Amino acid sequence: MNCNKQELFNMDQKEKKLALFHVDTDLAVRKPQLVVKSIAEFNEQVYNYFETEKFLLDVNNRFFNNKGTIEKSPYYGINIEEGSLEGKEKKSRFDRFFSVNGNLTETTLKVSLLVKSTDLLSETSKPFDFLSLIVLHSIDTVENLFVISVKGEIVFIKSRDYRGGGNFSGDKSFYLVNMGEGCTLCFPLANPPHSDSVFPALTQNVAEILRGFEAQGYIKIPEKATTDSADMSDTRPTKVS
Amino acid sequence: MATEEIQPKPKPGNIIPGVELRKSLAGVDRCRTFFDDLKLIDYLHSVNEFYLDGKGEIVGPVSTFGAGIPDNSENNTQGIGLKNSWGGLEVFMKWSTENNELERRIHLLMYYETEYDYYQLYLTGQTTHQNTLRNLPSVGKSFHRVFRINPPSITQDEIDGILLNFTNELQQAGVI
Repeated sequence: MNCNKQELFNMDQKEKKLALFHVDTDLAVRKPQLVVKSIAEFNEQVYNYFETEKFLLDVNNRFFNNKGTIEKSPYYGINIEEGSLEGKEKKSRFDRFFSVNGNLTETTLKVSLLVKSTDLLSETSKPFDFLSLIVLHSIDTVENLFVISVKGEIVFIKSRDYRGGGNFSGDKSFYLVNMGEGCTLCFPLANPPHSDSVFPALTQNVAEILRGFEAQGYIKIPEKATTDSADMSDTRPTKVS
Repeated sequence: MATEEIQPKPKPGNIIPGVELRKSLAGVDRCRTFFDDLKLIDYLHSVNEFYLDGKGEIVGPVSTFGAGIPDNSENNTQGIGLKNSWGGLEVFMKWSTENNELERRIHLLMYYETEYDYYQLYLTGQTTHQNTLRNLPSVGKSFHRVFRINPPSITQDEIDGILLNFTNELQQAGVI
């Protein structure tokens, strides 16, 4: 089991520097309320630091005619392992429940731009339900990395009754629910990125992902999105309150 | 950050046992049965043998489960393993170029979600450019396919079809 103290970075907005603060994994596991608030605040700072909203609003404007909606979901992941029973005599099937260990492995802010296919459909489109563009900012405390990734997904929804009947008769044996592509940038925690260096890379990756979807026949990229290079300073995205 | 006296742990695990934990572990067991019955790990062994000359390293299957606590508005009194807990298995294969600059992976993850009673199979192919110079980012590209599957109605033929299709996509993406 990893050591208890995990370090998270706090963002100092004014000076664009990083300052450490500590999260005790034991505390995180036993009293998550105390930790969640700090992490939620931290994630908010990350979101502002990387100007993610500006990025997504711009993408929404250029590629989706502003039809998409932005959703934020911060969370932290506790990696849970079945524990070792070393030093303990095996007594019963309940041993397993009492020996599960958890470690705070990551904190992530997930921000999604969701666009319904009905807002996008053109004659040549293949059917799907919605497209989501996800930006993830994570601190991986196991590998000591700062991770920013962009994922584009084509999502197919099959509605299903809540736990109806308990058997699968009538259900198809399988179906594709989600397909997508992503790009991930990993930085060592000791040298976190600045938004200037991240922005252009993300923009380029989003364009690539969306062009891929276009090539597969799911979407059509509007002309204005392809006419210029990824120069973010030109655009004045409208603020969504 | 509030400091607090942490009492020494009287038991091996630090996760509060509860109903959600039991469900998660039950999910792990279901997926393990599925993996074993269909010998899914053999897929990676074959890919390794025929596409990678045996250079891949196969990790797992590892049980995987947990629940991320969404936000502060929840009344989180239980600890870990809150609503919508899931449990599953993950196995992956990784291999690198000799200088470790390029790492490629294939992930197979399957989980069972108790509340809504479904299984999902995640297939991922990824390529990561490590940067041997310090302080430069490593860049990864990946693609994924997610299937909802319904044991026992799904057949071996259908699973094999999914995996063969995925293999084709791995080739097209340059992962293998």
